[in-house]
Amino acid sequence: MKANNRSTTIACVVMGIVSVAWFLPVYFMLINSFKPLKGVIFTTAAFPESVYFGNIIEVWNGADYFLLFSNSLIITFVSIVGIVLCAAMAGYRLSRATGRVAALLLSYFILTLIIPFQAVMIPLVKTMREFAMIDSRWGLILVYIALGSPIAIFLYQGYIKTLPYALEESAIIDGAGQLTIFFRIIFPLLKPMTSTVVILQSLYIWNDFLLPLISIQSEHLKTIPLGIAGKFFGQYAFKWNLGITAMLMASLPMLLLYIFVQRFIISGVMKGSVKY
Amino acid sequence: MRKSKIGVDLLFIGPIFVVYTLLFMYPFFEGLYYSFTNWNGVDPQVNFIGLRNYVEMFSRDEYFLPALQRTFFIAVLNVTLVNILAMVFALALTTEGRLNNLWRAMIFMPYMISMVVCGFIWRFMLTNIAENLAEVTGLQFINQSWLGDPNIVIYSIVIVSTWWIAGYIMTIYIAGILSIDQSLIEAGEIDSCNTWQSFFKIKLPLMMPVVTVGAFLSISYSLKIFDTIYSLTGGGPGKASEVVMLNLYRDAFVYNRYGYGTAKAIVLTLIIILITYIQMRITNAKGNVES
Repeated sequence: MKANNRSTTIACVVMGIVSVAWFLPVYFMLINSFKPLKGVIFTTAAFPESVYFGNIIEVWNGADYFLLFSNSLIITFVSIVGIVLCAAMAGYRLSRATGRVAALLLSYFILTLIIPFQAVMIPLVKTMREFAMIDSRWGLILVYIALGSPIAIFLYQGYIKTLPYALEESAIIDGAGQLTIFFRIIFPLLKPMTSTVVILQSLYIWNDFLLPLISIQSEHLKTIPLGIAGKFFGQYAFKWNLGITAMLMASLPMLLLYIFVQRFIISGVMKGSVKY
Repeated sequence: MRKSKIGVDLLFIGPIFVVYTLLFMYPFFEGLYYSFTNWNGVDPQVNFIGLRNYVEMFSRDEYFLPALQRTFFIAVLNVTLVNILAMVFALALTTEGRLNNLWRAMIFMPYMISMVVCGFIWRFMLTNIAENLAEVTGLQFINQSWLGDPNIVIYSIVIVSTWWIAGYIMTIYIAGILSIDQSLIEAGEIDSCNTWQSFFKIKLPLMMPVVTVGAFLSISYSLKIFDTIYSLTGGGPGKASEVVMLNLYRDAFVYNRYGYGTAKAIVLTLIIILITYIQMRITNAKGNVES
Protein backbone atom coordinates (compact mmCIF):
# COMPACT_ATOMS: atom_id res chain seq x y z
CA MET A 1 0.00 0.00 0.00
CA LYS A 2 2.86 2.33 0.86
CA ALA A 3 4.55 1.72 -2.51
CA ASN A 4 1.26 2.49 -4.17
CA ASN A 5 1.04 5.81 -2.34
CA ARG A 6 4.52 6.74 -3.39
CA SER A 7 3.93 5.97 -7.06
CA THR A 8 0.75 8.06 -6.92
CA THR A 9 2.77 10.98 -5.56
CA ILE A 10 5.46 10.55 -8.21
CA ALA A 11 2.82 10.38 -10.95
CA CYS A 12 1.22 13.53 -9.60
CA VAL A 13 4.49 15.47 -9.49
CA VAL A 14 5.61 14.33 -12.95
CA MET A 15 2.23 15.18 -14.42
CA GLY A 16 2.43 18.54 -12.71
CA ILE A 17 5.66 19.30 -14.54
CA VAL A 18 4.15 18.08 -17.81
CA SER A 19 1.06 20.25 -17.30
CA VAL A 20 3.11 23.33 -16.58
CA ALA A 21 5.15 22.68 -19.74
CA TRP A 22 1.89 22.27 -21.65
CA PHE A 23 0.69 25.59 -20.33
CA LEU A 24 3.88 27.53 -21.22
CA PRO A 25 2.86 28.65 -24.75
CA VAL A 26 -0.38 30.08 -23.39
CA TYR A 27 1.51 31.69 -20.50
CA PHE A 28 4.01 33.39 -22.83
CA MET A 29 1.19 34.55 -25.09
CA LEU A 30 -0.56 35.99 -22.06
CA ILE A 31 2.38 37.92 -20.59
CA ASN A 32 3.60 39.28 -23.91
CA SER A 33 0.18 40.67 -24.78
CA PHE A 34 0.68 43.19 -21.99
CA LYS A 35 4.11 44.45 -23.07
CA PRO A 36 4.94 47.14 -25.62
CA LEU A 37 6.86 46.07 -28.76
CA LYS A 38 10.24 46.72 -27.15
CA GLY A 39 9.46 44.43 -24.24
CA VAL A 40 8.19 41.70 -26.56
CA ILE A 41 11.40 41.77 -28.55
CA PHE A 42 14.07 42.20 -25.87
CA THR A 43 12.63 40.61 -22.73
CA THR A 44 10.30 38.06 -24.31
CA ALA A 45 10.49 35.42 -21.59
CA ALA A 46 10.30 37.86 -18.67
CA PHE A 47 7.23 38.78 -16.69
CA PRO A 48 6.06 42.30 -17.70
CA GLU A 49 7.27 45.09 -15.41
CA SER A 50 4.08 47.03 -15.84
CA VAL A 51 0.76 46.20 -17.45
CA TYR A 52 0.40 47.77 -20.89
CA PHE A 53 -3.04 47.83 -22.54
CA GLY A 54 -1.99 49.47 -25.80
CA ASN A 55 -1.87 46.21 -27.79
CA ILE A 56 -5.34 45.14 -26.79
CA ILE A 57 -6.82 48.51 -27.67
CA GLU A 58 -5.08 48.56 -31.03
CA VAL A 59 -6.11 45.00 -31.95
CA TRP A 60 -9.68 45.62 -30.77
CA ASN A 61 -9.96 48.60 -33.11
CA GLY A 62 -7.78 47.32 -35.91
CA ALA A 63 -9.32 43.90 -36.33
CA ASP A 64 -12.91 44.98 -35.72
CA TYR A 65 -12.89 42.34 -33.03
CA PHE A 66 -16.50 42.71 -32.01
CA LEU A 67 -17.68 42.05 -35.57
CA LEU A 68 -15.51 38.94 -35.91
CA PHE A 69 -16.73 37.72 -32.55
CA SER A 70 -20.40 38.17 -33.40
CA ASN A 71 -19.93 36.46 -36.78
CA SER A 72 -18.31 33.46 -35.10
CA LEU A 73 -21.04 33.41 -32.46
CA ILE A 74 -23.95 33.60 -34.93
CA ILE A 75 -22.48 31.01 -37.28
CA THR A 76 -21.63 28.57 -34.49
CA PHE A 77 -24.94 29.01 -32.68
CA VAL A 78 -27.25 28.67 -35.69
CA SER A 79 -25.25 25.74 -37.08
CA ILE A 80 -25.45 23.92 -33.75
CA VAL A 81 -29.19 24.45 -33.44
CA GLY A 82 -29.56 23.16 -37.00
CA ILE A 83 -27.37 20.12 -36.40
CA VAL A 84 -29.09 19.17 -33.14
CA LEU A 85 -32.61 19.52 -34.59
CA CYS A 86 -31.92 17.82 -37.92
CA ALA A 87 -29.85 15.02 -36.44
CA ALA A 88 -32.09 14.28 -33.46
CA MET A 89 -35.21 14.14 -35.68
CA ALA A 90 -33.60 12.00 -38.36
CA GLY A 91 -31.87 9.82 -35.77
CA TYR A 92 -35.21 9.24 -34.02
CA ARG A 93 -37.04 8.10 -37.17
CA LEU A 94 -34.10 5.98 -38.32
CA SER A 95 -33.78 4.20 -34.98
CA ARG A 96 -37.50 3.39 -34.82
CA ALA A 97 -37.76 2.19 -38.42
CA THR A 98 -36.89 -1.39 -39.22
CA GLY A 99 -37.06 -1.53 -43.02
CA ARG A 100 -34.20 -1.87 -45.46
CA VAL A 101 -34.60 1.77 -46.57
CA ALA A 102 -33.82 3.00 -43.08
CA ALA A 103 -30.66 0.88 -42.91
CA LEU A 104 -29.59 2.15 -46.32
CA LEU A 105 -30.24 5.75 -45.33
CA LEU A 106 -28.18 5.33 -42.19
CA SER A 107 -25.19 4.00 -44.12
CA TYR A 108 -25.65 6.81 -46.64
CA PHE A 109 -25.26 9.34 -43.82
CA ILE A 110 -22.38 7.47 -42.21
CA LEU A 111 -20.35 7.76 -45.41
CA THR A 112 -19.07 11.07 -44.00
CA LEU A 113 -17.12 9.13 -41.41
CA ILE A 114 -15.14 7.65 -44.29
CA ILE A 115 -14.97 10.49 -46.79
CA PRO A 116 -12.97 13.35 -45.30
CA PHE A 117 -14.03 16.94 -45.87
CA GLN A 118 -10.90 17.46 -47.96
CA ALA A 119 -12.30 15.26 -50.74
CA VAL A 120 -15.31 17.54 -51.04
CA MET A 121 -13.67 20.87 -50.35
CA ILE A 122 -12.68 22.00 -53.85
CA PRO A 123 -15.90 21.10 -55.72
CA LEU A 124 -17.89 22.39 -52.74
CA VAL A 125 -16.77 25.92 -53.55
CA LYS A 126 -18.29 25.54 -57.02
CA THR A 127 -21.50 24.05 -55.61
CA MET A 128 -21.78 26.93 -53.14
CA ARG A 129 -21.32 29.38 -55.99
CA GLU A 130 -24.08 27.65 -57.99
CA PHE A 131 -26.52 27.97 -55.10
CA ALA A 132 -25.45 31.58 -54.40
CA MET A 133 -24.17 30.43 -51.00
CA ILE A 134 -20.58 31.51 -51.40
CA ASP A 135 -19.44 34.42 -49.24
CA SER A 136 -22.54 34.32 -47.05
CA ARG A 137 -23.29 33.38 -43.46
CA TRP A 138 -26.20 31.17 -44.51
CA GLY A 139 -24.06 29.26 -46.94
CA LEU A 140 -21.46 28.58 -44.27
CA ILE A 141 -24.12 27.52 -41.76
CA LEU A 142 -25.79 25.10 -44.18
CA VAL A 143 -22.44 23.49 -45.02
CA TYR A 144 -21.67 23.07 -41.32
CA ILE A 145 -25.07 21.43 -40.86
CA ALA A 146 -24.36 19.10 -43.79
CA LEU A 147 -20.93 18.21 -42.39
CA GLY A 148 -21.87 17.87 -38.72
CA SER A 149 -25.28 16.19 -38.80
CA PRO A 150 -24.35 12.72 -40.10
CA ILE A 151 -22.08 11.91 -37.15
CA ALA A 152 -24.71 13.33 -34.80
CA ILE A 153 -27.41 11.19 -36.48
CA PHE A 154 -25.22 8.18 -35.87
CA LEU A 155 -24.75 9.06 -32.19
CA TYR A 156 -28.45 9.87 -31.66
CA GLN A 157 -29.87 6.78 -33.31
CA GLY A 158 -27.59 4.56 -31.26
CA TYR A 159 -28.69 6.34 -28.11
CA ILE A 160 -32.42 6.29 -28.92
CA LYS A 161 -32.26 2.53 -29.46
CA THR A 162 -31.46 2.17 -25.77
CA LEU A 163 -34.62 4.10 -24.75
CA PRO A 164 -37.74 2.01 -23.95
CA TYR A 165 -40.43 2.13 -26.61
CA ALA A 166 -43.20 2.04 -23.98
CA LEU A 167 -42.99 5.79 -23.42
CA GLU A 168 -43.97 6.58 -26.97
CA GLU A 169 -46.58 3.83 -27.10
CA SER A 170 -48.63 5.33 -24.33
CA ALA A 171 -48.43 8.73 -26.01
CA ILE A 172 -49.59 7.24 -29.32
CA ILE A 173 -52.55 5.65 -27.54
CA ASP A 174 -53.35 9.07 -26.10
CA GLY A 175 -53.50 10.28 -29.70
CA ALA A 176 -50.43 12.52 -29.66
CA GLY A 177 -48.93 13.44 -33.04
CA GLN A 178 -45.39 12.47 -34.04
CA LEU A 179 -44.06 15.99 -33.58
CA THR A 180 -45.55 16.25 -30.11
CA ILE A 181 -44.11 12.86 -29.16
CA PHE A 182 -40.70 13.86 -30.41
CA PHE A 183 -40.49 17.27 -28.80
CA ARG A 184 -42.33 16.44 -25.56
CA ILE A 185 -41.02 12.96 -24.82
CA ILE A 186 -38.00 11.97 -26.88
CA PHE A 187 -36.01 15.18 -27.23
CA PRO A 188 -35.73 15.89 -23.47
CA LEU A 189 -34.45 12.34 -22.95
CA LEU A 190 -31.65 12.96 -25.44
CA LYS A 191 -30.01 15.62 -23.27
CA PRO A 192 -26.81 13.65 -22.48
CA MET A 193 -26.21 12.97 -26.17
CA THR A 194 -27.17 16.52 -27.13
CA SER A 195 -24.59 18.00 -24.80
CA THR A 196 -21.88 15.83 -26.37
CA VAL A 197 -22.95 16.81 -29.89
CA VAL A 198 -23.06 20.49 -28.93
CA ILE A 199 -19.60 20.42 -27.34
CA LEU A 200 -17.80 18.53 -30.10
CA GLN A 201 -19.45 20.45 -32.93
CA SER A 202 -19.05 23.89 -31.32
CA LEU A 203 -15.34 23.29 -30.82
CA TYR A 204 -15.01 22.30 -34.47
CA ILE A 205 -17.15 25.08 -35.95
CA TRP A 206 -15.90 27.93 -33.74
CA ASN A 207 -12.26 27.03 -34.38
CA ASP A 208 -12.58 26.02 -38.03
CA PHE A 209 -10.32 27.85 -40.44
CA LEU A 210 -10.39 25.90 -43.70
CA LEU A 211 -14.04 26.30 -44.70
CA PRO A 212 -14.22 30.05 -44.03
CA LEU A 213 -10.87 30.41 -45.82
CA ILE A 214 -12.20 28.96 -49.07
CA SER A 215 -15.74 30.32 -48.93
CA ILE A 216 -15.65 33.80 -47.32
CA GLN A 217 -14.08 36.85 -48.93
CA SER A 218 -15.94 39.85 -47.47
CA GLU A 219 -14.24 41.40 -44.46
CA HIS A 220 -17.56 41.92 -42.67
CA LEU A 221 -18.42 38.19 -42.80
CA LYS A 222 -15.15 36.76 -41.50
CA THR A 223 -14.96 34.60 -38.39
CA ILE A 224 -12.35 34.97 -35.64
CA PRO A 225 -9.81 32.41 -36.93
CA LEU A 226 -10.00 33.73 -40.50
CA GLY A 227 -10.12 37.45 -39.65
CA ILE A 228 -7.27 37.31 -37.15
CA ALA A 229 -5.06 35.07 -39.28
CA GLY A 230 -5.54 37.45 -42.21
CA LYS A 231 -4.44 40.40 -40.10
CA PHE A 232 -1.38 38.48 -39.05
CA PHE A 233 -0.21 37.95 -42.61
CA GLY A 234 -0.98 41.57 -43.45
CA GLN A 235 -0.61 44.47 -41.07
CA TYR A 236 0.79 42.64 -38.05
CA ALA A 237 3.47 40.69 -39.92
CA PHE A 238 6.40 42.33 -38.16
CA LYS A 239 4.64 43.70 -35.10
CA TRP A 240 4.88 40.73 -32.78
CA ASN A 241 3.30 42.61 -29.89
CA LEU A 242 0.10 43.07 -31.89
CA GLY A 243 0.31 39.62 -33.45
CA ILE A 244 0.54 37.77 -30.17
CA THR A 245 -2.17 39.95 -28.64
CA ALA A 246 -4.40 39.11 -31.59
CA MET A 247 -3.80 35.42 -30.88
CA LEU A 248 -4.73 35.93 -27.24
CA MET A 249 -7.94 37.68 -28.21
CA ALA A 250 -8.73 34.97 -30.78
CA SER A 251 -8.45 32.22 -28.19
CA LEU A 252 -9.83 34.15 -25.22
CA PRO A 253 -13.57 33.41 -25.70
CA MET A 254 -12.96 29.65 -25.73
CA LEU A 255 -10.39 29.79 -22.91
CA LEU A 256 -12.75 31.78 -20.68
CA LEU A 257 -15.58 29.39 -21.46
CA TYR A 258 -13.22 26.54 -20.66
CA ILE A 259 -12.35 27.93 -17.24
CA PHE A 260 -16.01 27.95 -16.26
CA VAL A 261 -17.37 24.76 -17.84
CA GLN A 262 -14.20 22.69 -18.08
CA ARG A 263 -15.67 19.62 -16.35
CA PHE A 264 -18.73 19.70 -18.57
CA ILE A 265 -16.62 19.91 -21.75
CA ILE A 266 -14.26 17.10 -20.77
CA SER A 267 -17.11 14.81 -19.71
CA GLY A 268 -18.86 15.54 -23.01
CA VAL A 269 -15.76 14.54 -24.95
CA MET A 270 -15.46 11.39 -22.84
CA LYS A 271 -19.07 10.37 -23.46
CA GLY A 272 -18.73 10.95 -27.19
CA SER A 273 -15.61 8.82 -27.50
CA VAL A 274 -17.01 5.67 -25.93
CA LYS A 275 -20.13 5.84 -28.10
CA TYR A 276 -18.32 5.90 -31.45
CA MET B 1 -52.12 5.45 -42.16
CA ARG B 2 -49.31 4.45 -44.47
CA LYS B 3 -49.39 7.76 -46.31
CA SER B 4 -49.12 9.82 -43.15
CA LYS B 5 -46.13 7.73 -42.06
CA ILE B 6 -44.23 8.72 -45.20
CA GLY B 7 -45.23 12.31 -44.49
CA VAL B 8 -43.68 12.06 -41.02
CA ASP B 9 -40.51 10.54 -42.43
CA LEU B 10 -40.25 13.35 -44.94
CA LEU B 11 -40.66 15.90 -42.20
CA PHE B 12 -38.10 14.25 -39.89
CA ILE B 13 -35.47 13.01 -42.33
CA GLY B 14 -36.17 15.10 -45.42
CA PRO B 15 -34.44 18.39 -44.50
CA ILE B 16 -31.10 16.90 -43.53
CA PHE B 17 -31.26 14.45 -46.43
CA VAL B 18 -31.56 17.35 -48.88
CA VAL B 19 -28.88 19.51 -47.24
CA TYR B 20 -26.46 16.60 -46.90
CA THR B 21 -27.03 15.39 -50.46
CA LEU B 22 -26.63 18.83 -52.04
CA LEU B 23 -23.69 20.01 -49.95
CA PHE B 24 -21.76 16.82 -49.39
CA MET B 25 -22.57 13.93 -51.70
CA TYR B 26 -23.21 16.05 -54.79
CA PRO B 27 -19.87 17.90 -54.60
CA PHE B 28 -18.16 14.62 -53.80
CA PHE B 29 -19.36 12.94 -57.00
CA GLU B 30 -18.85 16.12 -58.96
CA GLY B 31 -15.28 16.16 -57.66
CA LEU B 32 -14.77 12.60 -58.85
CA TYR B 33 -15.75 13.77 -62.34
CA TYR B 34 -13.62 16.93 -62.23
CA SER B 35 -10.57 14.95 -61.21
CA PHE B 36 -10.61 13.60 -64.79
CA THR B 37 -10.73 17.08 -66.32
CA ASN B 38 -8.45 20.08 -66.66
CA TRP B 39 -11.05 22.49 -65.25
CA ASN B 40 -9.59 25.73 -63.90
CA GLY B 41 -12.47 26.68 -61.62
CA VAL B 42 -13.80 29.59 -63.65
CA ASP B 43 -13.95 28.59 -67.30
CA PRO B 44 -17.29 27.12 -68.46
CA GLN B 45 -15.22 24.99 -70.84
CA VAL B 46 -14.32 21.69 -69.15
CA ASN B 47 -12.18 19.17 -71.02
CA PHE B 48 -12.19 15.51 -70.14
CA ILE B 49 -8.56 14.39 -70.04
CA GLY B 50 -8.90 10.88 -68.63
CA LEU B 51 -6.27 9.82 -66.13
CA ARG B 52 -3.81 12.52 -67.07
CA ASN B 53 -4.09 14.36 -63.71
CA TYR B 54 -3.40 11.15 -61.84
CA VAL B 55 -0.45 10.30 -64.06
CA GLU B 56 0.95 13.82 -63.78
CA MET B 57 1.04 13.92 -59.98
CA PHE B 58 3.01 10.70 -59.79
CA SER B 59 5.38 11.34 -62.68
CA ARG B 60 5.92 14.99 -63.58
CA ASP B 61 4.94 16.86 -60.41
CA GLU B 62 8.16 17.57 -58.55
CA TYR B 63 6.35 18.66 -55.36
CA PHE B 64 3.60 16.09 -54.88
CA LEU B 65 5.57 12.94 -54.07
CA PRO B 66 7.92 14.71 -51.64
CA ALA B 67 4.85 16.27 -49.99
CA LEU B 68 3.24 12.84 -49.71
CA GLN B 69 6.39 11.36 -48.23
CA ARG B 70 6.65 14.24 -45.77
CA THR B 71 3.01 13.79 -44.76
CA PHE B 72 3.62 10.10 -44.02
CA PHE B 73 6.73 10.95 -42.03
CA ILE B 74 4.89 13.53 -39.94
CA ALA B 75 1.94 11.16 -39.50
CA VAL B 76 4.09 8.26 -38.27
CA LEU B 77 5.94 10.42 -35.74
CA ASN B 78 2.80 12.24 -34.70
CA VAL B 79 0.57 9.20 -34.26
CA THR B 80 3.22 7.33 -32.29
CA LEU B 81 4.07 10.25 -30.05
CA VAL B 82 0.47 11.36 -29.48
CA ASN B 83 -0.83 7.91 -28.62
CA ILE B 84 2.05 6.98 -26.33
CA LEU B 85 1.89 10.30 -24.48
CA ALA B 86 -1.91 10.20 -24.30
CA MET B 87 -1.84 6.68 -22.88
CA VAL B 88 0.87 7.44 -20.32
CA PHE B 89 -0.89 10.65 -19.25
CA ALA B 90 -4.21 8.85 -19.02
CA LEU B 91 -2.73 6.11 -16.82
CA ALA B 92 -0.94 8.62 -14.61
CA LEU B 93 -4.07 10.75 -14.22
CA THR B 94 -6.42 7.92 -13.27
CA THR B 95 -4.51 7.29 -10.05
CA GLU B 96 -5.74 8.83 -6.82
CA GLY B 97 -3.68 12.03 -7.11
CA ARG B 98 -5.54 15.04 -5.77
CA LEU B 99 -4.51 17.44 -8.51
CA ASN B 100 -5.30 15.07 -11.37
CA ASN B 101 -8.34 17.03 -12.53
CA LEU B 102 -6.30 20.21 -12.74
CA TRP B 103 -3.52 18.53 -14.71
CA ARG B 104 -6.05 16.94 -17.04
CA ALA B 105 -7.69 20.30 -17.67
CA MET B 106 -4.34 21.95 -18.43
CA ILE B 107 -3.26 19.29 -20.91
CA PHE B 108 -6.63 19.33 -22.69
CA MET B 109 -6.65 23.14 -22.95
CA PRO B 110 -4.81 23.54 -26.29
CA TYR B 111 -7.70 21.68 -27.95
CA MET B 112 -9.90 24.68 -27.13
CA ILE B 113 -7.74 26.91 -29.34
CA SER B 114 -8.11 27.04 -33.09
CA MET B 115 -5.33 25.15 -34.89
CA VAL B 116 -4.46 28.15 -37.04
CA VAL B 117 -4.02 30.24 -33.88
CA CYS B 118 -1.88 27.48 -32.32
CA GLY B 119 0.41 27.68 -35.33
CA PHE B 120 0.94 31.40 -34.74
CA ILE B 121 1.41 31.00 -30.99
CA TRP B 122 4.14 28.45 -31.66
CA ARG B 123 5.73 30.58 -34.35
CA PHE B 124 6.15 33.11 -31.57
CA MET B 125 7.36 30.43 -29.14
CA LEU B 126 9.90 28.92 -31.51
CA THR B 127 11.36 32.18 -32.74
CA ASN B 128 11.15 34.92 -30.11
CA ILE B 129 10.67 32.97 -26.89
CA ALA B 130 13.17 30.20 -27.70
CA GLU B 131 15.92 32.72 -28.36
CA ASN B 132 15.24 34.73 -25.24
CA LEU B 133 14.73 31.68 -23.06
CA ALA B 134 18.07 30.22 -24.16
CA GLU B 135 19.71 33.50 -23.27
CA VAL B 136 18.09 33.66 -19.83
CA THR B 137 18.50 30.01 -18.82
CA GLY B 138 21.75 29.28 -20.63
CA LEU B 139 20.25 26.14 -22.19
CA GLN B 140 21.64 26.60 -25.67
CA PHE B 141 19.82 23.63 -27.26
CA ILE B 142 16.57 25.59 -27.00
CA ASN B 143 17.96 28.14 -29.41
CA GLN B 144 17.64 26.22 -32.66
CA SER B 145 16.51 27.45 -35.99
CA TRP B 146 13.24 25.61 -35.30
CA LEU B 147 11.40 26.94 -38.32
CA GLY B 148 14.26 27.97 -40.56
CA ASP B 149 16.20 24.73 -40.82
CA PRO B 150 14.63 22.28 -43.33
CA ASN B 151 15.85 19.34 -41.25
CA ILE B 152 14.35 20.56 -38.00
CA VAL B 153 11.10 22.11 -39.19
CA ILE B 154 9.33 18.74 -39.52
CA TYR B 155 9.99 18.01 -35.84
CA SER B 156 8.71 21.44 -34.87
CA ILE B 157 5.46 20.60 -36.65
CA VAL B 158 5.22 17.32 -34.76
CA ILE B 159 5.74 19.17 -31.45
CA VAL B 160 3.00 21.67 -32.23
CA SER B 161 0.45 19.16 -33.46
CA THR B 162 1.15 16.85 -30.54
CA TRP B 163 0.70 19.74 -28.15
CA TRP B 164 -2.68 20.48 -29.70
CA ILE B 165 -4.23 17.02 -29.86
CA ALA B 166 -2.59 14.91 -27.11
CA GLY B 167 -5.01 16.17 -24.44
CA TYR B 168 -8.00 15.24 -26.57
CA ILE B 169 -6.77 11.69 -27.18
CA MET B 170 -5.77 11.45 -23.51
CA THR B 171 -9.34 12.33 -22.50
CA ILE B 172 -10.64 9.50 -24.70
CA TYR B 173 -8.19 7.08 -23.07
CA ILE B 174 -9.19 8.25 -19.60
CA ALA B 175 -12.80 7.46 -20.54
CA GLY B 176 -11.61 4.02 -21.60
CA ILE B 177 -9.74 3.36 -18.35
CA LEU B 178 -12.67 4.53 -16.23
CA SER B 179 -15.05 2.21 -18.07
CA ILE B 180 -12.98 -0.86 -17.13
CA ASP B 181 -14.65 -3.00 -14.52
CA GLN B 182 -12.64 -2.26 -11.36
CA SER B 183 -13.01 -5.84 -10.09
CA LEU B 184 -10.92 -7.13 -13.00
CA ILE B 185 -8.00 -4.92 -12.00
CA GLU B 186 -8.42 -5.93 -8.37
CA ALA B 187 -8.47 -9.59 -9.40
CA GLY B 188 -5.16 -8.95 -11.14
CA GLU B 189 -3.77 -7.38 -7.98
CA ILE B 190 -4.79 -10.41 -5.94
CA ASP B 191 -2.99 -12.60 -8.48
CA SER B 192 -0.02 -10.30 -7.80
CA CYS B 193 0.16 -8.72 -11.26
CA ASN B 194 2.79 -6.00 -11.39
CA THR B 195 2.03 -2.62 -12.96
CA TRP B 196 3.28 -3.74 -16.40
CA GLN B 197 1.27 -6.93 -16.38
CA SER B 198 -1.79 -5.11 -15.14
CA PHE B 199 -1.50 -2.71 -18.06
CA PHE B 200 -0.61 -5.08 -20.90
CA LYS B 201 -2.72 -8.07 -19.81
CA ILE B 202 -5.79 -6.39 -18.37
CA LYS B 203 -6.19 -2.69 -19.14
CA LEU B 204 -4.90 -2.49 -22.71
CA PRO B 205 -6.92 -5.41 -24.12
CA LEU B 206 -10.08 -4.02 -22.52
CA MET B 207 -9.25 -0.58 -23.88
CA MET B 208 -8.97 -1.69 -27.49
CA PRO B 209 -12.30 -0.05 -28.48
CA VAL B 210 -11.08 3.39 -27.32
CA VAL B 211 -7.60 2.78 -28.72
CA THR B 212 -9.33 2.17 -32.05
CA VAL B 213 -11.01 5.57 -31.77
CA GLY B 214 -7.84 7.33 -30.58
CA ALA B 215 -5.71 5.82 -33.32
CA PHE B 216 -8.32 6.60 -35.97
CA LEU B 217 -8.66 10.23 -34.89
CA SER B 218 -4.91 10.83 -34.65
CA ILE B 219 -4.15 9.12 -37.97
CA SER B 220 -6.76 10.98 -39.97
CA TYR B 221 -5.85 14.26 -38.25
CA SER B 222 -2.16 13.78 -39.08
CA LEU B 223 -2.73 12.86 -42.72
CA LYS B 224 -5.08 15.85 -43.21
CA ILE B 225 -2.91 18.33 -41.31
CA PHE B 226 -3.26 21.81 -42.80
CA ASP B 227 -4.13 24.79 -40.54
CA THR B 228 -1.23 24.34 -38.15
CA ILE B 229 1.37 24.28 -40.92
CA TYR B 230 -0.37 27.03 -42.87
CA SER B 231 0.22 29.44 -39.99
CA LEU B 232 3.39 27.95 -38.49
CA THR B 233 5.59 27.81 -41.58
CA GLY B 234 3.36 28.28 -44.62
CA GLY B 235 5.11 25.19 -46.00
CA GLY B 236 8.55 26.71 -45.72
CA PRO B 237 11.43 27.18 -45.65
CA GLY B 238 11.16 26.66 -49.39
CA LYS B 239 8.97 23.58 -49.64
CA ALA B 240 10.56 21.85 -46.63
CA SER B 241 7.30 21.52 -44.68
CA GLU B 242 4.75 21.43 -47.48
CA VAL B 243 2.32 18.56 -46.81
CA VAL B 244 -0.24 17.10 -49.21
CA MET B 245 -3.12 19.30 -48.04
CA LEU B 246 -1.07 22.46 -48.46
CA ASN B 247 0.16 21.28 -51.86
CA LEU B 248 -3.32 20.56 -53.22
CA TYR B 249 -4.78 23.70 -51.63
CA ARG B 250 -2.24 25.76 -53.59
CA ASP B 251 -2.94 23.89 -56.83
CA ALA B 252 -6.65 24.53 -56.54
CA PHE B 253 -6.93 27.97 -55.01
CA VAL B 254 -3.65 29.70 -55.86
CA TYR B 255 -2.85 28.25 -59.31
CA ASN B 256 -6.52 27.70 -60.26
CA ARG B 257 -6.01 24.08 -61.22
CA TYR B 258 -9.26 22.80 -59.70
CA GLY B 259 -9.31 19.54 -61.63
CA TYR B 260 -5.76 18.72 -60.68
CA GLY B 261 -6.22 19.71 -57.03
CA THR B 262 -9.35 17.60 -56.81
CA ALA B 263 -7.52 14.58 -58.23
CA LYS B 264 -4.92 14.97 -55.50
CA ALA B 265 -7.64 15.29 -52.87
CA ILE B 266 -9.13 12.03 -54.07
CA VAL B 267 -5.77 10.29 -53.88
CA LEU B 268 -5.36 11.61 -50.32
CA THR B 269 -8.86 10.38 -49.47
CA LEU B 270 -8.10 6.91 -50.79
CA ILE B 271 -4.89 6.84 -48.76
CA ILE B 272 -6.73 7.89 -45.58
CA ILE B 273 -9.46 5.29 -46.14
CA LEU B 274 -6.91 2.56 -46.81
CA ILE B 275 -4.72 3.34 -43.80
CA THR B 276 -7.58 3.80 -41.34
CA TYR B 277 -9.19 0.60 -42.67
CA ILE B 278 -5.99 -1.36 -42.01
CA GLN B 279 -5.70 0.26 -38.58
CA MET B 280 -9.30 -0.64 -37.70
CA ARG B 281 -8.71 -4.24 -38.77
CA ILE B 282 -5.65 -4.46 -36.54
CA THR B 283 -6.97 -2.70 -33.42
CA ASN B 284 -10.44 -4.26 -33.64
CA ALA B 285 -9.03 -7.76 -34.13
CA LYS B 286 -6.76 -7.35 -31.11
CA GLY B 287 -9.74 -6.26 -29.03
CA ASN B 288 -11.86 -9.21 -30.14
CA VAL B 289 -9.25 -11.88 -29.54
CA GLU B 290 -8.88 -10.87 -25.92
CA SER B 291 -12.54 -10.51 -25.06
